[in-house]
Amino acid sequence: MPTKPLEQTNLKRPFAVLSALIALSTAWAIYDEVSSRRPWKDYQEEFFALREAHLRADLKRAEQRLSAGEAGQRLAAARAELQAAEQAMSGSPEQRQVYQAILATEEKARQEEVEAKLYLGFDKSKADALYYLVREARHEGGHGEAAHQAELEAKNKEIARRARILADAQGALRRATEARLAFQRRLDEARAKVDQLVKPAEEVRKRLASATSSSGRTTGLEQYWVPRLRNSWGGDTVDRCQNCHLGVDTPGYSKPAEVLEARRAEIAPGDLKVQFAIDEEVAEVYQAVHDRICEEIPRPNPIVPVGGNPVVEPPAPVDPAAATECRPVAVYRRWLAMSDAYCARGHRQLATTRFLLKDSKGAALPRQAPRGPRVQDLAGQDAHQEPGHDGLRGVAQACAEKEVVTAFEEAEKADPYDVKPVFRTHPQRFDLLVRSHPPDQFGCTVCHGGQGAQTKGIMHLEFRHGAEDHHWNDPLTDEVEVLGQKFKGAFVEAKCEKCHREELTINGAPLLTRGKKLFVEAGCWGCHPTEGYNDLPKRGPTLTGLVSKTTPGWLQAWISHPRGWRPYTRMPNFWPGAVDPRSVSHPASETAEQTLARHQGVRASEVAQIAAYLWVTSRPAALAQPPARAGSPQKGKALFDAVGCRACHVAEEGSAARRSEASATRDYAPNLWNVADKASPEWLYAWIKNPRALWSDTKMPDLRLGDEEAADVTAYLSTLRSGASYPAPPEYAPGERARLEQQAQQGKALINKYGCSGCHVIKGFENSQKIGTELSEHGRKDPKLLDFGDVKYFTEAPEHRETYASWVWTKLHTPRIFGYELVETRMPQFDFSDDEALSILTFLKGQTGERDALPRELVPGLDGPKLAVLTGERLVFWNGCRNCHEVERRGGVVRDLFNEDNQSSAPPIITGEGAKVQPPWLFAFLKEPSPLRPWLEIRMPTFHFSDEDAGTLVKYFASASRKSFPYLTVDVPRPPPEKAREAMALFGALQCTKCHVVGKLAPKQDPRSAAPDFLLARKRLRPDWIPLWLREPNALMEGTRMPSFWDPDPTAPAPHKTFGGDKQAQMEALRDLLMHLGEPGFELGSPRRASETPDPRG
Amino acid sequence: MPSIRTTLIAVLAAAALPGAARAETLTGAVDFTGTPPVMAKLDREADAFCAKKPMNDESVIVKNKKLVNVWVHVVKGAPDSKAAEGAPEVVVNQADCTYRPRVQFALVGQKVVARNGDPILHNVHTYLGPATLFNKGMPNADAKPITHVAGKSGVIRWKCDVHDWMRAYVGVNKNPFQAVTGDDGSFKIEGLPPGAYTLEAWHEVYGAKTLEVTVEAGKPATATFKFDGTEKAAGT
Repeated sequence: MPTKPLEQTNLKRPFAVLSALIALSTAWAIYDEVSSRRPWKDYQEEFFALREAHLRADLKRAEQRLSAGEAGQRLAAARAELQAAEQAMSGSPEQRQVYQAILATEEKARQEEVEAKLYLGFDKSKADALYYLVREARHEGGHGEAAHQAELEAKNKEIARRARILADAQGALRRATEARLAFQRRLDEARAKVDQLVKPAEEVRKRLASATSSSGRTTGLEQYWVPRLRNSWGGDTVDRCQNCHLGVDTPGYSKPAEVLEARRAEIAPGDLKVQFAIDEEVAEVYQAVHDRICEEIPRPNPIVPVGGNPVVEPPAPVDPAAATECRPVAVYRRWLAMSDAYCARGHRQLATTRFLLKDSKGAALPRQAPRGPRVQDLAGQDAHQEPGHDGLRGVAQACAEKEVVTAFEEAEKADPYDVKPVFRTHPQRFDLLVRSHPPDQFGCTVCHGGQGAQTKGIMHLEFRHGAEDHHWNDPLTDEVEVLGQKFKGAFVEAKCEKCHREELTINGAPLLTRGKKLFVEAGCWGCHPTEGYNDLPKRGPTLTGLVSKTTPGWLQAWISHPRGWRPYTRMPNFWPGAVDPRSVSHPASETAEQTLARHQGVRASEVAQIAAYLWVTSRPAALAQPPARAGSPQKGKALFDAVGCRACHVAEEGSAARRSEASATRDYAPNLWNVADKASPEWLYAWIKNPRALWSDTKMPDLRLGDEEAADVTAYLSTLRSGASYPAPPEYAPGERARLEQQAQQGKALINKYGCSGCHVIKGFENSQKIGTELSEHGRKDPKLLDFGDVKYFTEAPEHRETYASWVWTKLHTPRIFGYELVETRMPQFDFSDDEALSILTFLKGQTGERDALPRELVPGLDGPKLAVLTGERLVFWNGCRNCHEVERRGGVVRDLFNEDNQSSAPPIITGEGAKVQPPWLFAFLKEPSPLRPWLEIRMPTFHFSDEDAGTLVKYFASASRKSFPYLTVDVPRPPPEKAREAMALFGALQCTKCHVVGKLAPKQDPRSAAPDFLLARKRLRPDWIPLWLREPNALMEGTRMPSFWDPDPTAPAPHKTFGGDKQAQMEALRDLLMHLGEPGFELGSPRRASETPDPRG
Repeated sequence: MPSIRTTLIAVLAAAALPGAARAETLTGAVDFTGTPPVMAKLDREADAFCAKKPMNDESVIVKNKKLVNVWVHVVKGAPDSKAAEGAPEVVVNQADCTYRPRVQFALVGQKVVARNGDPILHNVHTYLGPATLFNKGMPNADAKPITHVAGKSGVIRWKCDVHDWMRAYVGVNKNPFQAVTGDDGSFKIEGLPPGAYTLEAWHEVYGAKTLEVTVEAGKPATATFKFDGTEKAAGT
């Protein structure tokens, strides 16, 4: 076939085909762009419908409220009033008769006023002319002057008359205008009242109109672009989460449980409305549904009372015979979801406690907890099952008693809540998004992780927030899965640590807060170098004086298994395999008994060697000499109860009253119920007298007990023993010294291996290093870098199970489990509870080392008062100030020892201390406390603060009270003598010295009714605080015995006639007097003279 | 029709009401079965004025094996009363460094007034549970009386911090069915409609005890509480 030149070829067909292709691909591209690549559009449309439904329901309720009940009556009355007011002004002629008359009167009055003014003007001009004539006549020789004068006087009288007429006319006009305006005011007020009543409904109507308008219903992509925050790629943060999570920053879609929680916390109804944007009626319905399907269990008291919180009984099991009503599992799933929406965390869901699960044949199934195996079982021989997602695998129906099923069916009917999890309002929207982290400034992924810019799954996969994107190393932190158990939001808290590292207590992040405190309390940093925790003093006692303190037998028993002797101690177990063989790795050929025996053998020899080294190297401590008189245990017990020992210690076996702030399963300070097993009386005496002499970094303060008092307390503590005996091992016999020395040599190597010197001062280990892994960036560790050893659970399915969280959790519970032939694990077992492990896991996950790379303006507490508060908080925590005091609204643990009748004998509340006292005084007091309140038996101990620490605390209190620091002394001028005399009279009349001491207690004065020494005020109190205190003492220190004399109500009279009864002047005068009391001219003479009372009978 | 039915019901209710409202009187006593504790002399020496008049502790008074100053009140079974507004004031006097009367009762909403008859300073520190209600100083007999409106049910404890021994108690109840045992240890509650009630007896040292009582129409009702002296009030 001859080829035609191209220009002669017919190209119709290829053109047609190509254009068809282009048209098709364009159509496909448009379709793809508009529809399949925009899955968020469906969410938006669904949300718009939900929003409209909610607004319509709101509107209906608002309208109903206005048409019925009291509000309806008020609206009807207001409308009637409005109508009456309108008619009175512009109704029928009869109705506006009065108004018209007033208008006419006003018009007439106005004319009269103008007229009067005019005539007055005329007369005044005439008078001026006459006056001219008088003057002229006088100059011209007095001719006719008298006549003109008479004329002028007559005219002036006329002017006075005219002026009176004008004044009357003006008065009449004013009255008429006032009467007219009264009509207008009545109308305005009536209109405002109607508007006020219909306003809520009007607003809903407006919102509904905008939501249903075309612009309100247009879908579109939005994003938070935060250039200053880098994502895990180092790029700008771009978050588009809000395109599907549409209700997240809008009130009105909160879970009912959150609303009910706020209601329970007695948040004001107005705030409830602002935070949650729901009507009180809806809250009522929520409450009714909640009451049907949730069971409230009493909340544990945050200040654990002596003996611990009451145990919460588990729910009674369901009686299979009574559980006759059955519903299919689909219905049951719905009820579970409803329970999840309605029951708060501390509540029991009746859906789980009152239902029996049955399979398709009707056989009862055990309820599977949606959690994996216990840590101890991970290395066992059984194959591990992943738990079902909701624990309903194989369940066909759920059965319960008839009433229970009816309750659920009724609850479901009444349930007005229809918000899918994806549309829910942020659970802490008000506190987090509105108040402190607006999403347009912080985005979402900074806390939640995940791929913020992604809006659909990769390829055809379901969208999982970047989970499939292997280049993305910042996974969603929504839920942490540990061994199949899920913990909501734990790692969101870990993200707080990124910026808030310096804060010990982070509001809204309880897990992280507990983790931080536990990390400090348990002394993890003794072995693991961790940024921010490297300079803390050693956590355990100094061991260089052991020979004076205890016996070799007890020492060995203690090192072998600390929790065996003291169940809630910090000291960990270095031979966990000798207690529970499941906590260590062991060859498959070995039985549990064999493992246990092997570990017990190792323990016996290692403990003997370590104890030998400690014993041989320690030297008798220089102990304070007790007095000759033997102490009295009874007096000692009374002192122990009274002076404040019990703020930190308990002395009852098993008591949970003084647990650590970080954990409910760890004692704050040793439980002393068996202390005499361990410590010799000589050592106890010396320790009580001066703890720091025996352990320079101890937290135990000095209660300044006298020799006799200390001897009494020693006698009491010496009675506290368990009855067990700890005989000395044979190598401690006098003739066996060589053997002991030899064991000690081996012991030294073991102490080095286990890193005992991380927590203890031990002779020969003065310069030892921390032996553990650095944890400063541990939270970023890739699980692939973690060694999961031979633990069967992980080797079974490494791709799913080998996660960071599961490794840390397992390591915290059973640190020796990951060892094998080549890898020896040395970390001791702290017997952490699950709660403790989760807290520390959260803390570790937060250690990412990112803080220094963050923009400065985002990091809180870098300088100024905030830094002072954060630094001070750490000292307050370390020294346990809150065990006695309420400091800045938290604490006061020891108050559980005081009953309703003696609250004022408890340590003072020191919230606002910075506004109250002068820094130099506080500094001196912290360095060396002196009794301030003669009525207290409990004492402020001496903490032997360094100048630096005392300064930090003073600055802390000043900053927490928003007072400037350093403090410039404000001189209060000396009041002049007459003022001073008046102030003194007031002082006497109020009988201040009936309680307040001046220098020393008055003769016969009962210390229980005494109040602080007035002579201290000058140096101690900030003068500006005194009038504030006098005005409302109970507002500044709740429960104080100081009465108020000046009623804050301005109409109430002053307590005394001095200073003309001016209350403020009286309080200021007393301030001036107090600030100079004791100076020459301001003596009170004999202490009680001012209060001497006149005897009415003679 | 509905209106006729409504009227009928109203008439019936009106007819039934006088029967229901027929009030009975509940009388009773508080027996004390243990050995009464010896009330020691108060140490009032710290204040020269108070020291002039020696007094004994009055926290437990037992006469003829009956306990005096016990607040007896209906805690369950009676509707809340709104009659407090018109009710007379409950007055606590301070005289000779002691409160008179020591134990009284009031309705929620009723005014409780403190007066000082002494020429010396007392502070009136009142508590409800461990929380301070108010704490005001009254320097002498000219001090303006303090008026407090009882807001919640419970025992308002009165204490003077200047004179540690001074104590008084005002039991506040939501319904008017209450009394305090007199010098003979007996009490009388009038105007109780027939029905089942839970009665509580509260004593400052021995705490609270309850008793179920049924009041039948036309029959006088009685109730006897028993304390043996081993009981302890909560919070002490």
